[in-house]
Amino acid sequence: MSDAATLAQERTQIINDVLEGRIPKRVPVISALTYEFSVEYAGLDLKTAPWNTANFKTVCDKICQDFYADYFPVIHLRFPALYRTLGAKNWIVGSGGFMQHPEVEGLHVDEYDDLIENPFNCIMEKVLPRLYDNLNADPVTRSMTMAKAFTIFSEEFGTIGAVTAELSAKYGYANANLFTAAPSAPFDFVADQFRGFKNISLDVRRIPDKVEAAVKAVTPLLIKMGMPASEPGPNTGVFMPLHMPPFMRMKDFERLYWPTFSQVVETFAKAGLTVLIFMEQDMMRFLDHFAELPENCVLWFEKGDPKLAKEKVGKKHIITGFYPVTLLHTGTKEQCVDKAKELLDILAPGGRYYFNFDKSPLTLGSANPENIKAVLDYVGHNANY
Amino acid sequence: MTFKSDYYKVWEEELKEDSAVDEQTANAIAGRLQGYEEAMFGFVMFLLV
Repeated sequence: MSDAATLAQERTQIINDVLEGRIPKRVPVISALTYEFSVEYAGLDLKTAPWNTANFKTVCDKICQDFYADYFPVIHLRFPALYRTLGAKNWIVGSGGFMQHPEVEGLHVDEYDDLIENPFNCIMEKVLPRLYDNLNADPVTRSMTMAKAFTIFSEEFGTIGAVTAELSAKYGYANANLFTAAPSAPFDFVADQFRGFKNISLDVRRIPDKVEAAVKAVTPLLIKMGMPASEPGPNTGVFMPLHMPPFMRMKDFERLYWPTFSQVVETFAKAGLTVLIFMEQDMMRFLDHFAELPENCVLWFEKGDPKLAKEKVGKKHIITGFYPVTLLHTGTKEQCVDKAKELLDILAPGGRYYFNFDKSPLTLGSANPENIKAVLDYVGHNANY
Repeated sequence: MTFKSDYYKVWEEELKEDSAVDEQTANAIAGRLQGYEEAMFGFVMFLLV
């Protein structure tokens, strides 16, 4: 067996141990560096490099060479060629080349009943043409746009899949697929691109019955989106980034957010998937709710109290995150490594923990790469049980 | 969980509308075409997250 294959076997084992609640040989390192950060680190221009799929391998190879990881370390989701072809209003290329998500309204307030009656029809007939200018066209133009967009989507994910497999074999990364799909929580789905942050906040107060019915109506779509076509193997996960809870009152969260979200998570867990939940912002006041989810969900925390999280959900679920990316930007190498030691002392005992930052560094300006390397190297080589 | 839409069909629904297809051919078609139906559903949902 080659060195890389041996390494992959060991890494697969420690990740499998963590995800199944066993204490692994050491704390796995599963960082998720954005492609935008990676492009800039590799010395390419963010305004031009993402347009060429051939750059993906060059960029990722450089990251794999320079940054410690137990699992393929780059994530890439926003493709400028796709959004430009569609005439997107919800994903816009900024002046520096970074994809920005502005506030949008794909569904007007008087269209709730259409969404409730038939969500997928409403998406195809109303929401998509409103979010994507080039789909708001005559049938011929629209069909040509959709064909081009689907081709781009398939090419981009085809490239990502092929390069991930090739570099995982080269560098001995774990055999795992933690991001097979990224279904939203049903409430976030309605909030993010249908109604927008401002509108949904008003709707929750003015027309909660409509919001509740809409959230229930879209739930089957999100379950379908995350379910695998066949029996999932070990280390297979779906990624659910949560957006709105920190901005909701507890009574609204309990009525409008939690029931459908927990239904989705329970369905995925029953199907054998690991549910990787990104707890954006501070979710500490909802910890008791998350403690009720099926065992071995991964809770990726951005902010909050790691000791409280370990105490309340750390015996049932897997914890990651909490490491502040801002420190990687402002701190010295020594301060950054000390912070990793502090979190390991709190979160590693008893297992059910892997190392990741509180969020993905977005661009080279958001974190000093030398600090990232120092922290990942430290954890990768010193966090043994 | 299932859902109904004019823009998504499972093969069994499509087959009901096409009585000319025999069972052996239907099985061969289903394996291919249902995959594209699922891929397009996944693509549409990706556009909304």
